[in-house]
Amino acid sequence: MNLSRRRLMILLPAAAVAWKSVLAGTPEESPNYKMSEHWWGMLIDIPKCIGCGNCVRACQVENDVPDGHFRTWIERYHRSDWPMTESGEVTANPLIVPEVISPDGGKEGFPVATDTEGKYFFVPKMCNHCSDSPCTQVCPVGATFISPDGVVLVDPTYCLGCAYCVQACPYGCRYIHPEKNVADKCTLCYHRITKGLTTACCEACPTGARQLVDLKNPNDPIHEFLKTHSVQVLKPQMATGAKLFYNDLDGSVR
Amino acid sequence: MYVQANRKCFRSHTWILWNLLELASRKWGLMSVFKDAGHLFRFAGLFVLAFLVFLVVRHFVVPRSFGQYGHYRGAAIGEIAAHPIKYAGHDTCETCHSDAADAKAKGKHAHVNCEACHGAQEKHATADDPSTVKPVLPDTTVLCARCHTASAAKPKGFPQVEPASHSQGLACDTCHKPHNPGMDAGGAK
Repeated sequence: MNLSRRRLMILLPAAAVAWKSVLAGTPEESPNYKMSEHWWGMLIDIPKCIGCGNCVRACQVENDVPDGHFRTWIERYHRSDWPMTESGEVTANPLIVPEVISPDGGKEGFPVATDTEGKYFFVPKMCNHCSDSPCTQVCPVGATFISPDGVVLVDPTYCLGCAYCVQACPYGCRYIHPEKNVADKCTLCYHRITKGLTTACCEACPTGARQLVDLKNPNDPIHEFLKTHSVQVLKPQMATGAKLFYNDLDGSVR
Repeated sequence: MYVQANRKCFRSHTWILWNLLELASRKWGLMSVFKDAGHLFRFAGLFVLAFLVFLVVRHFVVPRSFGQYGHYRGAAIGEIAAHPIKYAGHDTCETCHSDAADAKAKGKHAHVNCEACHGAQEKHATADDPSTVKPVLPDTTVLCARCHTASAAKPKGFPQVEPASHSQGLACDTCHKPHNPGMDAGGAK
């Protein structure tokens, strides 16, 4: 084969570009998955949560979440009874000032509570996968978005790490990844749910306090559950269209 | 003077356009309006050129799939979906470990998934020979206490014990079978 120097100079960059695309590979596809057929959310059944921290650990393993950062975490609320002085005067409103702890995101569980006064409960938190999310609206470069199946995702190759979205999220569900320097958050285990699996946190939850729900699936038990239970979302006044449904949520939860 | 200017910019497209306009304006008597407007057309030409350069640069800078579904890179969805899995899922476990699944189904741990206690097992499940990636058997003194240590914060109906007084330091699996832990349901060892 005769290759002139001129030809070679043209061919080499072309070959380099081609080889780069070969190395990058095509993303693993889920051939039976159609984005238009799903609208994902999650149900959290507060009376079932025992605060064991299994979900936090599972999420960290599944998604390589760095230590000290959380895609999901558990908060323990302690809402005391109405504090009264001896004359019967109420001194503080426990609905407004509950005691909230979350040692290391609840990863290793919680200290034993001995104070039997008042009401205790655990509130697992994570991205609410809002259908009208404030975090995607503030992104200046289009690096975060709501996928056609209702999951709020971050494109790490496009993100600048400006952290506007971290500030915009009313639920505090985003953080800047300390090594990648881009915004990171719960993907609702998108790599799992597109393959027919449930999320890592749901898989690891021993009591079924977390359930992945598909609002576009007419056979999903969520539809009956929403009709028969007192279900709420966090900060409904912000009209974020949150799809993280809490059963039996206490009024003091922020 | 007019003729000179005309020769100078003989090949300029702007100038051709100008000539056409001049013809038209003469015909319709608009001469006075466009008489000294040549500098405007040169400027307009610059703008058109800059716009073309912008289009070419944009073509190379903006990723192909940007805008496929919205104001973001559509290919990002596939890339996120391609992340490796760590938790295999209980259906995968049960294809081989049906004995453990059957034992579990009879007891109170029926709804606890395998990997809730045994940890992420995708490597074990997808290995050519699963016995080469042997999962570590959890230590029941630590494992069971995570859920069952008594605390006023836990839901009242949930079975809770104080490990120190309940077993005096003995491992839980001395008495209970973890897959079916109930003492009355034939779960005791």
